[in-house]
Amino acid sequence: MISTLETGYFIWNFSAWLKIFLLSAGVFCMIIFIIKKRTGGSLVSNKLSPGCENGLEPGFFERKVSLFRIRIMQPWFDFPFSHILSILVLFLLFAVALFTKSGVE
Amino acid sequence: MFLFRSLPGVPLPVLSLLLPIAAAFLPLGFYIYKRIKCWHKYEECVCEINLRFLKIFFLAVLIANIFLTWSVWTSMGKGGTELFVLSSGGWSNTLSPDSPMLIKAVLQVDVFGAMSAFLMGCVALIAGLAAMADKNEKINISKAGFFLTTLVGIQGIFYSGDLLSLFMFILVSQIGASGLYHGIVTTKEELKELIWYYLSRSTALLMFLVGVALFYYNYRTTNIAVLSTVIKLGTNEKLAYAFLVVPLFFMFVKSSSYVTDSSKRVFFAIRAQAALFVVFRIVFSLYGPLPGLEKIPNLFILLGLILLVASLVLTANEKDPVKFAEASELFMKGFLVISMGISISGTYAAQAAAEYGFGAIESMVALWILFLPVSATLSFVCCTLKQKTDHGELWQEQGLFRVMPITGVAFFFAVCVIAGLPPFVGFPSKQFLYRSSSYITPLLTIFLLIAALLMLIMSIRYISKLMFGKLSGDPDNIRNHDVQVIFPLIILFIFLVYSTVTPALFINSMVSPSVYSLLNKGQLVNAIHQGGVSE
Repeated sequence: MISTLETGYFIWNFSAWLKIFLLSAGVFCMIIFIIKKRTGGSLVSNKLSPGCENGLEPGFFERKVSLFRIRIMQPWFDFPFSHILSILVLFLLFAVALFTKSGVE
Repeated sequence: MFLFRSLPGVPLPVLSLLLPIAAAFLPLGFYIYKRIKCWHKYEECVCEINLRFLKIFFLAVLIANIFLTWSVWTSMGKGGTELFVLSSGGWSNTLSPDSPMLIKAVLQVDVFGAMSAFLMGCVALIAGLAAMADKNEKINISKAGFFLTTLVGIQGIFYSGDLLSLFMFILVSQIGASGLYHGIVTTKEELKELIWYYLSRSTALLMFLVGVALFYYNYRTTNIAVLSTVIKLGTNEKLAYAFLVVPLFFMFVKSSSYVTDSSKRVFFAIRAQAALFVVFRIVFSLYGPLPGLEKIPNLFILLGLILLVASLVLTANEKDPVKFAEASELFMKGFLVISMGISISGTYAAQAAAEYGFGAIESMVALWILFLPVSATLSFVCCTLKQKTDHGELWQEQGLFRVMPITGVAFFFAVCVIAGLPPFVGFPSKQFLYRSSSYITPLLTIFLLIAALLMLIMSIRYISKLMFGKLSGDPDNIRNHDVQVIFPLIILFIFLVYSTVTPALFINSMVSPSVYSLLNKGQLVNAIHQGGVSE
């Protein structure tokens, strides 16, 4: 059986992948086992009620990022002329990259 | 009369364009005729047609389109480019640089375009099947007409070798996409609501036309093959570069607004892919590595990084599945734009091309090919999750895996491909990029790896929230939602699994010939000077 297929730069080594997968599967099973032992047989904590609204609580960074999205990004997206503005900004960026000379030898 | 005389020698790519054009005209023509008739008689217009007939007709056109595009693709030599020129003397394979004024139409079909048209045809069929199975938004005559109009425009983009014909086909695809987005506008109020949408799209199209006009003014031709041999970078050419690339880049990034109809979303994804195809044509086939464009690769890398960061911010703690799908697509677009920047930078010198340029282009094309099936899968999955249930919407339930196993597995598979988790098919394409990006700066590689890891973690977290836990709704009701998209999902799933277990076939048969035909500008020159067809 050919275990290595070579396509240009990409080498597909089945036996190596099999080892990685067996190891990953082992780690995965162990984590599941530990979580189930702690939560009493359920992967998701029992205190969570159905529905994503009340689902897993977002972490600190997720909350901060979500806040940034809602407060900073969303108002810009909500502007009706945001598309035209994007085109103009893109055009300006390309114009600057095409017409400035500094930094190019 | 001229058109009739040129009919007997019609080449296959032209035929594969004429079929959807004729098919799109039939339902739309009938619809417009009915509306005019009703308007004339001051009656309320009810445009009814036998739904079974419409479905059979729609399906037949999409299947015929697949056969034609498949024939075009298989008839292409490896990496070959074929020109089909309609001049005063009818169809030929020869393009004369001395008399471009006599040329009425030019199609330039290479492996990249032919393969793209076939791939798009397959995904369009899958989207068509989903549209026909949709019980909430049933297919009607105008919807079928707009689907086919979009298909015509995009197929034309893949086969065009001329900037003006590219503009025409972009315009046609925009008409189709506008129709799919909001239907036919009949009142002033509707027009008022959509004024900013139309304004932005008109600006984009106008910009592209200005770019085309600049080329015509300077060189008296708009043919990409001819232009690539004579172009000299001056102020006008630089302006044309911005005018041609910016609108298409915008259309690629912002391909659609918030739409919950899966088949429409798939067509918008096809359109995004076609927009990037035009950017590839302009950047690689028309301009190439001309002195004076050295800052462009850095700009593309910067834009790609912005897209990546934006996608991660938009994905974090997102609950709405359609918005989640949009953010994931943005992530794929970010990787694509970065790979494009590295690819351009790698074409400036032979050493750079050998070290990382070629690998980056392979990565870019592989990511570009995968974009469509993956975003189609995401569309089907996420729009299914948006469907109404007794308690609200499907995504507000938990434990969906028990009743929607195929949707769950397809979602997981799509996410793994997007994040480039080995051994899924996203990995071979991304590993080329990681390798190439380290030549630009190792920091970029680290950033890409971290971004991919973050995306994977957030996506798996999102899927686990939906799929695991205790189901609260009626299992039979939920299962019915899944059944509607099972067939399209299975086809897409087969493609992704097949390319995952046979990456060699995926790279060798689809990616490498496309890269070869995209880069080999010499072939186009041969096609002009040595009588058209080249091997």
